Amino acid sequence: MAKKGGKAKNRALNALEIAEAEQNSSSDIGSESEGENQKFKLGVLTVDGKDFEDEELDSDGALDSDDDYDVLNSKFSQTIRDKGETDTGYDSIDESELIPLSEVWARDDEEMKRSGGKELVLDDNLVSDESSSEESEESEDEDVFDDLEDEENDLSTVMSQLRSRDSSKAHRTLINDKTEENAFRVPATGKKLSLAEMMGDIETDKPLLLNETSAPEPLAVPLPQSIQKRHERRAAYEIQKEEVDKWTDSIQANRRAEVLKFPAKDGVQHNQTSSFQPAEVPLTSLDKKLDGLLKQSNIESKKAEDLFENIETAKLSKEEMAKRTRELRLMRELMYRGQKDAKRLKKIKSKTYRQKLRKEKQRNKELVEGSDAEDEDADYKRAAERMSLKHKNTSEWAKSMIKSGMSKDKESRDELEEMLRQGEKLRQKQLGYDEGESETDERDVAEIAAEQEDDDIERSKLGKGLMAMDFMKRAEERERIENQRLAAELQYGDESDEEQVANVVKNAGRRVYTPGAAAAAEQWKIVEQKAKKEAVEDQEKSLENKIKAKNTPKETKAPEEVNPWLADAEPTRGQKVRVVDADSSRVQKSAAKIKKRTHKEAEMDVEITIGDTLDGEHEGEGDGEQDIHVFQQKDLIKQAFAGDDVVTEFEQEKHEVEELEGDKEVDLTLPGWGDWAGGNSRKKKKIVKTVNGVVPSDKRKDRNKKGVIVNERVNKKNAKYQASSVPYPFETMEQYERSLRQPIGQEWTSREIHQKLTMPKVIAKHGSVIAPMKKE
Amino acid sequence: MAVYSKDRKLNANLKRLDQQHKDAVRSAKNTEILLQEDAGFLEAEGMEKTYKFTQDSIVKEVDQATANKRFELKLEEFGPYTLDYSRNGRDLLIGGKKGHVASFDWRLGKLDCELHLNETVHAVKYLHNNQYFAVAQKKYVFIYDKTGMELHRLKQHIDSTLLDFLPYHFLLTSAGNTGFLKYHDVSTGELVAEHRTKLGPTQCMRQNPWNAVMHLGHANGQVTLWSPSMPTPLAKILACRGPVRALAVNRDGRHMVVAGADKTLKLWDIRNFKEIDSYYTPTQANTVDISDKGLVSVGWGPHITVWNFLKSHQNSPYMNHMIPSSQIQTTRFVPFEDILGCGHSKGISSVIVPGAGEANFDALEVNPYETAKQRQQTEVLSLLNKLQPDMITLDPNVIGSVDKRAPSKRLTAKDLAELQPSQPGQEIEKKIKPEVKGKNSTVRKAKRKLRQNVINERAKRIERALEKEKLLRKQKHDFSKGIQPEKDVLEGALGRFK
Repeated sequence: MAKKGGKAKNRALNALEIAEAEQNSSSDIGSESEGENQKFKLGVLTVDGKDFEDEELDSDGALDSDDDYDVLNSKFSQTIRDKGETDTGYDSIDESELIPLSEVWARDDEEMKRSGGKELVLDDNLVSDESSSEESEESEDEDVFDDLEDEENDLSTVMSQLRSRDSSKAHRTLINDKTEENAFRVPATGKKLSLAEMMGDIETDKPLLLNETSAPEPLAVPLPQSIQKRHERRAAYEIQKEEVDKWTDSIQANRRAEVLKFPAKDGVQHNQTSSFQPAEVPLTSLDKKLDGLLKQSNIESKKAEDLFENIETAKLSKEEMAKRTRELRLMRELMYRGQKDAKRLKKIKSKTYRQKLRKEKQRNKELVEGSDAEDEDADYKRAAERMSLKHKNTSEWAKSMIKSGMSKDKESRDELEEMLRQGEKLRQKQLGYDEGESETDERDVAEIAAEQEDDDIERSKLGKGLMAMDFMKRAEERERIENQRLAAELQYGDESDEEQVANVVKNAGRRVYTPGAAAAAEQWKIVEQKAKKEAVEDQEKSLENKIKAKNTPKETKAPEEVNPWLADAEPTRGQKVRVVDADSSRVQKSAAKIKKRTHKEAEMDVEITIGDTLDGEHEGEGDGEQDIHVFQQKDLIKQAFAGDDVVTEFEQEKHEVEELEGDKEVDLTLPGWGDWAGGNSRKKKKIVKTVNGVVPSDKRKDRNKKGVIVNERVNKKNAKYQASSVPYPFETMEQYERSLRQPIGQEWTSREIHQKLTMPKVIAKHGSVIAPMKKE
Repeated sequence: MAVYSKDRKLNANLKRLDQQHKDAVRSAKNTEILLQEDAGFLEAEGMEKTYKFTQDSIVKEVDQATANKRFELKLEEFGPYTLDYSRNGRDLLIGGKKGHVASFDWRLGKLDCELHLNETVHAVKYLHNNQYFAVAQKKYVFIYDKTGMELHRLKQHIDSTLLDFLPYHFLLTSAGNTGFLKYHDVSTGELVAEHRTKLGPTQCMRQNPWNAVMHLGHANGQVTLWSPSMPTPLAKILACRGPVRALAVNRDGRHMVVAGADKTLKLWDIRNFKEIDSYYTPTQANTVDISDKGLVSVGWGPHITVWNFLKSHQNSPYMNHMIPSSQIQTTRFVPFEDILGCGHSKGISSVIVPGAGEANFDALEVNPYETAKQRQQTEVLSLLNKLQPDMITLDPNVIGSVDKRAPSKRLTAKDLAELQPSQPGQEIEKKIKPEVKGKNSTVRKAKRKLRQNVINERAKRIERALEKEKLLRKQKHDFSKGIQPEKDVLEGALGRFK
């Protein structure tokens, strides 16, 4: 009620204001006692450019009782809001779209403006505020035709009045039609209508209404009301839908937005980087100076450069230019061809071609480098390659050749021989000869040794200074003995066949006791034997002999007694002990190297036995007694725990669990069923049913894991923390689990992300006015 | 752009999630600049070996603050000492076998309490902060507060020799000579679970900090993994041939080190259940611990050896220390410090082990510099965030995920209909039963029992009336169904006896 009172007050005020304004603007219009109130009763709003807002406020009150108040209200309030932002806001509202009738009026309005600049349109029942008060008193229930006649007079007077008004002022009129539509209602154009004018549009000569020939047809039956209404509803729906559809974009944008902030941020405008671009014209004196300098040095202007270049080319004569272009073209062509060639060569897949190419390359390289520039590594690589491939007649090709008797063929025999020759060459290299040496002399190993000895003696004689010192002499002596021994070994074969637990052979330094030492020694022996055998093989003259030698069975040795502790422990490291140091021979070095590279497992040059890994104190000294002591203790432990065989117990348990949790087969065959008396040996069909267990034994997690039993039973208490199926918006388990991947707690993410992830969907600033959504 | 689904909305959602994850990873990477501390190890030059460095030589080189952290407590009367550090590494709790218990801020040397219990002390353990601690005594487990006042006697925990505490679940676990593993919720005071191991006295017990699974070592060389929700072990590992002496699990839950009485020291990958490496100790190891950064301390005899073998096989230890004429009982690395605390038969000593501790702490998680107020806040927060004991599983990531037994795709209504062909009879047979209160309450049972023997006139009358009523009802029912009342065939013959 208070609100209404306020409104009424407002209205009164407005009335006063408007009255004043109108008095100022037009003297013709008489003062009206009723003021605005009456105007609203009549349902006509005059929207003036000046006092627009006031009028609007009043219109709200005026339309209180109206049917289409809501539409109007919302529209008007919209215009008020929009007015602040855009000047065209009011026009853009498009009354016409919402109220088809007013559209008609508006159109008429415009027509009128075009024709005579008349701004006011009157309806038959409605009278403008300018019309006299007596008209307002006219009863509405009078006959319409009477009204029409009256109106003509009235209209003419009003028109005349209006024409005298200041036409520069833009008046817009909204007419709110309260009367019902009927067939006889004619839009008032404000102009007198003559019959001639009306008939002027009819073009035909024939009178339209009279149709003499045909009998008067009955009028079509109007559609039933329900259907009519349905049509109307449909039409209305279409219009409404079009209107509503305009919002969809903004609604969708809002829905998609992660966060909606109100009021929308359009406050601070930060400087763009583009705003710091240098000004076109130098402003300060410093700028001017710089500009001048730049101009002087000709850096600044690109135009000048272009010009310069132009001049350069312009200097050339036509022939010269042509020559230059020719040269360029030639270069390009050559380059292109080279590329093409390279591509073609790259594509060739022939093996022989590649081999030839490689050989040629190598030859070229050798020519350039000279054979003496040999790196050890390169040496090794080559050796390994040849060892694996060419020098042996064990390759697929060689075998097939021998098998098919192709070795009698000259060519293939040559090939084979070439291979063997290469192998020999390689082996000699491996044994420590230079290439040239090996070719020239086929000396004995003993001779070499003797020579070396001589050499040594000579050196010792020569020695003075450092070489004459005691420890150097000792080292020399040791080295000499070692070399001698090695030579002897190579000459006469390994005579020390007895079991060597300690690996003292290869290393004159400390002795290493390991459980694996014997094995290592064994392995080393095997390697040596192989080498020897191969050497023998190569000395065989004919190919057949060689093959025979190759196929002789190898001596096999009984496996050594192994420590069950270590046998069971799978990832044992450091089993193979090989100490390669400065004073081992080249053979050893290279063999060790090959060994090292071929075996994938990372073996160290110096490895320490398992036994003393943990007590670092023994490591440095390496005193044998302690080691032996440790070894014995291990044995003791082995004995101590020998009684309870935990491993087999565990395996048994695992087996039982597997049985228990695995699928079971139940034999449902009934005894005697389908079995006639008498011992018919025909096999009966068994009826077997599998009962699903927890997990089949071949799908267990601990299937291939030794010493592990994993419980496969479903933990029912955990099940309540799991989703029983993939939850709604997600389609697959992966999608769902992907969505769980990012934790939002602040313990797991940075502060920035945590805040971002936990931000509410809508943020509204307290006390701020939130503008309604805009349609696109 | 990746397409996850045909559903546009879902696709957009998933894309957004993906982007979020990407952003989170990038942002996490950016926060690495905040981790300014870096762990450093001892480095040897030339002929030097890191395991040859003595504590004295290290103390000479390090800064004063670190040097102050090296100390020895000579406590020779009360036998071998076991010890425990609070979660933030500020406080130290020591327990002598012969009943000496003390809790103190070890850096400031400020004593909180000192108790002489006149009873055997097997194990000591701080609870979620330094305010409370549990002591496994001769028969029961007791809980004391910071001042040394006895708060609880946990009479369910009989003959416990081992204690541990799961901070996120507020569970105190104990195991011992009885062979039972017990979980006790210290926030509610309830015994959550007790599991019979059936493997005799438990030799050692440690938790896996990653998934809160308890690892128990037994006399037959097995290590069993337990969760309170399963009465059987989640997994069994045969780690050594002799009794398991000690074990420890890495912070990230990947590695377990097991020391056995057979003098083996084995490194296990407990996510894949594979043995990675194996070493021998010169004598049986008594204790094993793994630091934040993955250094392993092994106590055997009077020696402490620190190894760095989690990443690769080592031939020599990282550090060595010896406390002459004593037996090492317990070694524990201090959280966020390069210090190793050792309890031995002659007291306590703390050893500097460079590179052992995590240099960057997360104050939201565990704050070594927390004030009293912060400690209280953390306590409340951690109680609010307490995890349920049921949530302990081998793989903690299954919580919240889809049950593996469920179909991997969401079933539409159509699929469901196809899955279960509806049978018209089934729905009808399903009857709705009225919710009736059970008639077998204890009181009623007792009353009924009382009534059973009493035979009086009234009871007889009622019984008869009931019988009659029953008969009548049956007759009425039969009549309504159109069943002829059955004539007793023997009536004629036996009627005379009526």
